Amino acid sequence: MKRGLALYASIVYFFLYAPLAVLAIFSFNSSKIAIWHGFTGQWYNGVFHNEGLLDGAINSLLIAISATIASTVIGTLAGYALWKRRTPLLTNALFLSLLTPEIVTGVSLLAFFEWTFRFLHVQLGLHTVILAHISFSLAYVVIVILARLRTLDPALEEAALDLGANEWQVFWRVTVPMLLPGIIAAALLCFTVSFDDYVITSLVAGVNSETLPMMIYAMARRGVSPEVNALSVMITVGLGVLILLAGRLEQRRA
Amino acid sequence: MNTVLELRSLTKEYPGHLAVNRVDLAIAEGEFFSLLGPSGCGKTSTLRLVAGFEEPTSGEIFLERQSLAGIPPYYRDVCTVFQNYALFPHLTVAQNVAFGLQRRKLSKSAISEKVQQVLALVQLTGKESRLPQQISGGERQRVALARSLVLQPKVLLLDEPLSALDPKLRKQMRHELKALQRRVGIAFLFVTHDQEEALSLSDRMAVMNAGRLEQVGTPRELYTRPASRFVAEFLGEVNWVNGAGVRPESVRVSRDRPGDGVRALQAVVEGSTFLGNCVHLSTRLTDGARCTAELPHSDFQTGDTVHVWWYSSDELRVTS
Amino acid sequence: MTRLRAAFLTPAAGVMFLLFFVPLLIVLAYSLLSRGAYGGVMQPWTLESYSRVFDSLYLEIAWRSVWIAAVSTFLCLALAFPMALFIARSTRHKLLLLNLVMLPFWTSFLIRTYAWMFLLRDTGLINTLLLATHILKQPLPLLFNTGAVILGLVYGYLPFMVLPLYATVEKLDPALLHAAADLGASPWIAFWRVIVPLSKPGIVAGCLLVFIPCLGAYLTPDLMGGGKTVMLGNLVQNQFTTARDWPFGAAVSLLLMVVVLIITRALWRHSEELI
Repeated sequence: MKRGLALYASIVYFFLYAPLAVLAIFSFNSSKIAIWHGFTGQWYNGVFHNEGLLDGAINSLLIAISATIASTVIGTLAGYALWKRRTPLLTNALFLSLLTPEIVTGVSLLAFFEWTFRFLHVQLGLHTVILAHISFSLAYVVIVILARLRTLDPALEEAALDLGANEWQVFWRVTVPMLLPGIIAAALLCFTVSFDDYVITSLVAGVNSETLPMMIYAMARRGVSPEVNALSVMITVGLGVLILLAGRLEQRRA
Repeated sequence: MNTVLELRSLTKEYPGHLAVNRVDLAIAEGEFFSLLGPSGCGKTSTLRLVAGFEEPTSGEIFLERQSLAGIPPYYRDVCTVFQNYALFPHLTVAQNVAFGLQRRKLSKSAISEKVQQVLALVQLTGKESRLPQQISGGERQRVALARSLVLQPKVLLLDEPLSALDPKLRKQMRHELKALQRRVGIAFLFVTHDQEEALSLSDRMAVMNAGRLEQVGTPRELYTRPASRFVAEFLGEVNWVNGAGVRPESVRVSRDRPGDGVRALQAVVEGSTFLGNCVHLSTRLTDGARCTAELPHSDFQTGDTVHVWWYSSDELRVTS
Repeated sequence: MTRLRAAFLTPAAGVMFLLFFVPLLIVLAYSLLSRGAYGGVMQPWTLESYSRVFDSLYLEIAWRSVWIAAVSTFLCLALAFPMALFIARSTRHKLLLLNLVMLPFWTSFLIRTYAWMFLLRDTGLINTLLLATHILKQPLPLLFNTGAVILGLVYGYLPFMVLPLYATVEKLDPALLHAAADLGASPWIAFWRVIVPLSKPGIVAGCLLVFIPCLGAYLTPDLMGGGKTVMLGNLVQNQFTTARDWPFGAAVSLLLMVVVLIITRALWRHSEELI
């Protein structure tokens, strides 16, 4: 029974990792078709010399960093407030935003932006993407922050109050330092969700705000391209490292 | 008496820890046998080896002369009552009891009949459709017993089944357990760390220490003729005087010097503890050793000089 | 405390109101308006978009979405349950084994879909290998069909199933399994009679977490179905972009939301644990 389970599990792990591994291997293939021809790093080199891709990468980073900072700050404050006392309205809204299919979030934001911009005379662009990303990543931040807060001993805050700290000082001097690993984990998570998003981004992005996932999508539709393989491997490794970092921080108890 | 369960040189080794060390034991049909020892002595490991949850490192287990080596727990004709009962929380009392019967391809009516019988036996009639979390601790324990007994195993293994109950209920269940065992006639292998339980329930018992059996015998034998200091001390209080042990209840105290033919020593009273049904008088002998006497009542005062004495036939002579 | 709390809640409440609630309201309004000449919407107010949802063409898409999501959910469950048991029962490296399942989930969904396309295309690795070794003369149509969509969904959402299953299986008292074995149940029987009933909360949560995103999936059917396997997500996207029938797209979006909400409300009572 136990051996059977182990065998089964290894097959599933293989299923999970084999496609990515194959992609990684063939990103070093010197032939353009899916037959191993010889080792090369030219596709990686190509990615770095492709100005379109670099622009996309800069856009993606700009969006992800801005959205992460905003979302993490807003989400941490909200998580703390919800920890103190539940607010069913906000809780339900966040939960609902998690359940909403991405495509619905995307079109509703698109409709919203088009409608407001009729009065404001602005256009879709990076700013709309950033706003959209803040909206859908907020729930993730609140979940991580709340999970972390629930491991804290409320007596620590009471002790600080007892020693004469006011509420803001308690939050800033006692809770935030203890919460820091959770905040960083939430931020890293937020960054990866934002950096990866295609569905919502593609709907609310303007003409000059193409992101990396949008480019990968376009190339994937056209066919196999070794440059996409190389780019994918770099993104996967980068995001993987960030997530491992986030995981380590989350497991470390204050 | 026929042997129903036999352990031969049973050994279980974990990395860096010998849990069960060459245990030899034979349990007779219909016998109430207790394994007594401090926590970590290997008594529960022994039970788990018999049940089949663990495989022995070496040695063998025989059930009615058949070796159990390599036989998984679900084919072994022994049943376990777990420490916290391990009742299935999603099944009702009746469904818990029927669980084992359903594995045996019995007809529905045969199953429900047997369930009714055994529930009547443990006085749980009327609670059939309750869930485990809806009944009391004592009732849960009876469900656990019924669930195992209904399968009529060759041996019933009980892993500290009374330890989860509060003290008053524990005493009551002790009597019920003994009466139940007599009625069903199944051999019980009962694991406990409570010497009072073992002494009062067992036909025979064994004291276990650090993976080994220290001594096997009837409760009276073990109490009055312990083979080792460990057994003597584990089964009750002992005063050690010049290498011989004497239990407090054997010690008498008098102001006058007792007559010849008894062991007598001079001592000073250090204090007394009133225990309701008796008094524990602590004294210090002239050589500095302490000696406690259990007396029905006492009018000795702290500082009194007294004589403590006992019959030499009451002395425990241990070899190690 | 109340003033600090209010100050802390305001930004999040503002974001959720402005960027979640109001957009949904606008979608509701759009769904009740008529289609504009060049996209967008115009008066008069009408329920026409909702009545069109019941055209057989769209009912077929809805039905297809439901059964693709159901099959994917079932496959995820079948794959994930033994995984969860394996991880929960392993004595060492539990966390590592669990994280190995979760890790691909947090890397790019798009790239993981692309990786499968690289394997399954007519010119992909599998077909190239089969052709090069002369096992086949014609490439197998592995990509751009319903099977490929299901594969992509299962691959994408498997971790969502493993996590809640693991959480419940891990909490199971091992004594219960010992008791089952002790009472004569083989591991297989013990699995069905003890583990599965006691893991019900995890099964429900896992199925919900997989079924809901599968039902509203857009990217996977778009890329791996090659436009042939149209699901509700594609229908919505299409109405807002190519077809430029915003009222209809809005109506479908709202119905999708309502279905998701009903399913969630019926099955899940643990939202408090999450947020």
